[in-house]
Amino acid sequence: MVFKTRCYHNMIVLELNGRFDAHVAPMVAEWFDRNATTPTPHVTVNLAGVQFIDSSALATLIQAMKQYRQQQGDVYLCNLQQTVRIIFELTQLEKVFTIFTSEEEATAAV
Amino acid sequence: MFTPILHSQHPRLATLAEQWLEAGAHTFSVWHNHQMLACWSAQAPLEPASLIAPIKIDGQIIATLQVGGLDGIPSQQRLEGDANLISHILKLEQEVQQLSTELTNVQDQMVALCDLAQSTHSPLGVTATLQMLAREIMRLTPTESVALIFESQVACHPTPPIETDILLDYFRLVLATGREFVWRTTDGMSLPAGIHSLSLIPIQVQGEIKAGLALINQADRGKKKSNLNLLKAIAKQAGIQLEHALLYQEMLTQTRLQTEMDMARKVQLQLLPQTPPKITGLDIAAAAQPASLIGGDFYDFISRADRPTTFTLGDVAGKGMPAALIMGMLHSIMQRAARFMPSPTPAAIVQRANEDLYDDFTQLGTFATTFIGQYDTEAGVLHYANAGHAPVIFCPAGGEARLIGADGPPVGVMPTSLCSNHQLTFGPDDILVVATDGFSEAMNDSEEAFGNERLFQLIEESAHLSASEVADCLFQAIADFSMGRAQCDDQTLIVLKGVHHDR
Repeated sequence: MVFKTRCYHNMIVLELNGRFDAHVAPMVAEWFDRNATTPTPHVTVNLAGVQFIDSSALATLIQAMKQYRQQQGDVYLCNLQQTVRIIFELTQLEKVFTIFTSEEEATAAV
Repeated sequence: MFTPILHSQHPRLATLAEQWLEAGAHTFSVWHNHQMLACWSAQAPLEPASLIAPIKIDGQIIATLQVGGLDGIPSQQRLEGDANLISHILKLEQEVQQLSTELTNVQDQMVALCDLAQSTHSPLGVTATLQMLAREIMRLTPTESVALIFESQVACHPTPPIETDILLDYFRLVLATGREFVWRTTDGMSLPAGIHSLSLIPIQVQGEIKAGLALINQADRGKKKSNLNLLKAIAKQAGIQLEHALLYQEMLTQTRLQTEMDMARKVQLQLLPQTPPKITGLDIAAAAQPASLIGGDFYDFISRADRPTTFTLGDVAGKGMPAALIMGMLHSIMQRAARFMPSPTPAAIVQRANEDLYDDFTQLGTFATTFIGQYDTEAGVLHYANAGHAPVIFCPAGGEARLIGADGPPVGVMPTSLCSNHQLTFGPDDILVVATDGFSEAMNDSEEAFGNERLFQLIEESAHLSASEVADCLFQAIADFSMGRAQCDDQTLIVLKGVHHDR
C-alpha cells in the first residue's frame, strides 16, 4: 500500500493504492489520527488505485468520518473503482459518506 | 631456614655433598641470598667457597651450590652439572604440582556443577528458580550470603548484610560493563559497612546479560583465579536454568491462553442455536465456521409463543477475540429486543440495537452488518430489514438467484438507523441464503474472490436439495475453491427453503 497526500486550500487528499485490508487499516487509522489535530479536518480519500477493500478498512474510514464530523470536519471519498463502489452500495455506506467522482469535484464542492 | 622449594631436594643434596667430600672437597653448602641454608663439612672451621654454581628456575636464581677446598675447571663443570640437574628436577616437580592443582580444581567444579544441575531439573517459575539457585550456590561456595538478580527481582539466601537497592546499584555496573567484579576490602576497596568482599558475575540469559550472581563476604581461600572460574561456570549453569524457567513460564502462559480461547469458543458456540427451530412452511439450516477459534459472525433464532420467530445473522467488522466480544453484546441486545419490545418488527430491532450500541461501537471503532427476518406462515411472506449486510441471495422457485440489497448502513455507523421493514413473498421451493462475506470474498491461490456470481449459480444448481444440503454445497464449494488456503474470514450462513404445508 502506497500513501500519497496532496494539500488543497480547503482539504487534504489521501491517495491509497493496492489492497485496503486489515494489514493496511492500522496505518491509515494512524494517519487519520495524526491529521485530526487540525481544528476542522477535511480529508478526501482518493481510492482510484484500490481494487479491494475489507471490513477493517471500512471500519477505519467510518471511525475517521465520525471523529472528523465531531470536529466539524469530514471524510469524503472519490474515484471509487467498480468493485469498491459495489461494496459501498451493498453495505449502504454510500448513504453515509459523501462520494465524489474526482478530486477536483471534491475540492469544488467542499 | 630452608627455602620451601628446596625442601624436597634435601636427600638428593645430601648425596651430592657426600660425593663431593669423598672427592676431596672440604665443604659443600647451599646458599640463598647470602644466607647459608645447609652445609656439609669434612672439617672445621669452614673455608670460603672456591667453586659456585647457581640453581635457576625460569631464569631466576633461587639458590647457589658452593664447594670449598677444590678448584679447577673440571670441578667447576661438575658443580654446574649438579646445579642444572637440581634445577631440572625442581622445574618438573613444579609442573606436576601445578597440573595436580588444576585437576583438583576442575574436579571440584565438575562436582559442584553436577550438583547444581541435578538439583534444578524440575520445572519451576522464574522466582522459584532464583530462590532455588541461591540456596544451591550457597551450598557450593563458602560464603555468608548469595544473591541472584534477574531484571528487578532479587533472590537471596540467607538475608545478606546489604540493602537490596545497593546490590541492584552494583548490578547495574555489571550490566553496563558486561564483566565480572571482585571487590575486597583487603585490596583497598571501600565497601558498605559489614561487607568485606563482594563478587558479582554477569549471567547471560537468551543471549543477553540479564541476570547476575552476587557472593557477599565469600571466604578467602587464596585461589582467586580458580574460584572465579568456578563462579563463572556456576553463572553459566544458572543462566541455563533461568532460560528453562522462562520457557516453562511461557509454555504455562500459552497453555492458559489456549484454555481460555477454548472456553471462549465453547461459550460462543453455546450462543449459537444448536438446532434451527421448526417453522411451518420453512426448511431451515444454519452453520458457522470461524476463521480462528472464535469470530465475529453470528446467527440466532428467537422464538416466543406469542410472537413470530425472528432470525438474525450478523458480521462484526474485524476478527478474533475483539470481534467475538462485540458479537456477544450485539447478540444479547437483539435477543432482548426481539423478546421484550412491544412490537418487535425487524426494522425496530435494528433501530434498538443501533441506539444501544452506537456509542460503544464509535468508541471501539467498529460496526456490524445485520440481517433480521420474520416469517409469516399464513401469508407466506418474509418480513425483513437489512442493515448493510451482504450477500443476501433470493432464488425464487425455478427462477434466477439475485441479491437482496440493504436499505440502511450497518449498526453503529449512524446515530439513527435508516433501515425500514420490507416484505418478500416466500413460497414453496423459494430459497433465501443469508451468508457473510467470508463466502463471497473467499480467495483462491490467484487472489481471485469467489464472488456473488458463483454463489448465484451454485444456489440455482442446488435448488432441488434440502436447506442443509444447500448449506453443505456452499461450504464445500468454498473449501474446494480455496484449495486448502487458510480461511481469512469467518463463514456463517442461514438457508431458508419454502416447503409445501397444509394451510
